[in-house]
Amino acid sequence: MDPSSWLDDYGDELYRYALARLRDKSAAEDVVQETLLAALKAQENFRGDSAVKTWLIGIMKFKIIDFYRKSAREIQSESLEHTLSSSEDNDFDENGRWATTVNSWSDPDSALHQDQFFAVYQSCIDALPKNQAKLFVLNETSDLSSEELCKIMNISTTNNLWVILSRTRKRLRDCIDKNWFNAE
Amino acid sequence: MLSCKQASELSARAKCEKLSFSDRIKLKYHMVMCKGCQTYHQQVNLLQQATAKLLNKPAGCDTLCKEARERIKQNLKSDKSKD
Repeated sequence: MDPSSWLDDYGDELYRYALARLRDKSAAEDVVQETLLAALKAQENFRGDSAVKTWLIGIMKFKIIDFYRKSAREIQSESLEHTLSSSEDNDFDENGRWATTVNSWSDPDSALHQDQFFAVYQSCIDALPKNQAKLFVLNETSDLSSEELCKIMNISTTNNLWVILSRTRKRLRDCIDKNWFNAE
Repeated sequence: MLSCKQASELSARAKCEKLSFSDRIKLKYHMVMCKGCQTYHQQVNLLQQATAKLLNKPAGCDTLCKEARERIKQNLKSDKSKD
C-alpha cells in the first residue's frame, strides 16, 4: 500500500463523490483532504479485504456527514424548523386538501433522458433554502436513520422531519412543474 | 380518512422507515380515493429517480483542479512530518 499515490490514484474519484453530495467545490476539496489525512493516520487499520478505493470512500462518508453536522450548526439563524409555522404553509387549504390542483405531467419518463431537464432540476435544488437543500440531498444519498438525520440537521422531532421533507419535495415538484413540464 | 397534507407527510415518512400496518392501510386508502395525491405521488417518485441520477453526475468541472491538488499534497506532507 502506498499512501503517497492515493491523491494521484483516487483524488479525482473521491472529489467527484464528494462534489455530488456536497454540491460545493471548496467543501468537496476540503473533504478530500480530510479523508486522505484520516486515511494516513488509520492505514494500519486497513485490512486489505476491500479495495483501497472502497476503504477511502467509507472514510469519506463519515467526513461528509461531519461536514453536514458542522454546517447545520453554523447556519442556525436559518433554522429548518422556523418554516414550520402554519402561516408558511400554502400547499394545503384549512382542511388539509391541496390548495391548488396537482397538474399532471406528460411523458414524465422521457425527461430523465434529457440533460436540459437535469439542468433545470439542479437550479430548482439550488433555489431551496440552503439547509433545506442540504437535508434533502443528505436524505437522498445516505442511509441514515430518521433519528440520525434529525440529530445532524438539528431537527427536534422526526415528525418535523417528515413535514420539512414533504414540503421540500412539494417545492421541488412545483419548481419542475413550472419550469419544465408546464413551462410557458 | 387522511387529509392530503397528512398523506404527503406519511408518504415522506414511508420513504425513511416502515409504517405501521394501520398507517399503511390509511395511506393506501387515501391514494385510491384521491386523484391529486396519486398524481403527486407519481411525480415525487419520478423526482426521486431524477435526484439519484443527478447526484451521480456532478455539475461542472469534475476533477480536482491543479491548485487544490497541490494544496492537499502539501498539507498531507506537513501533517506527516508532524508524526
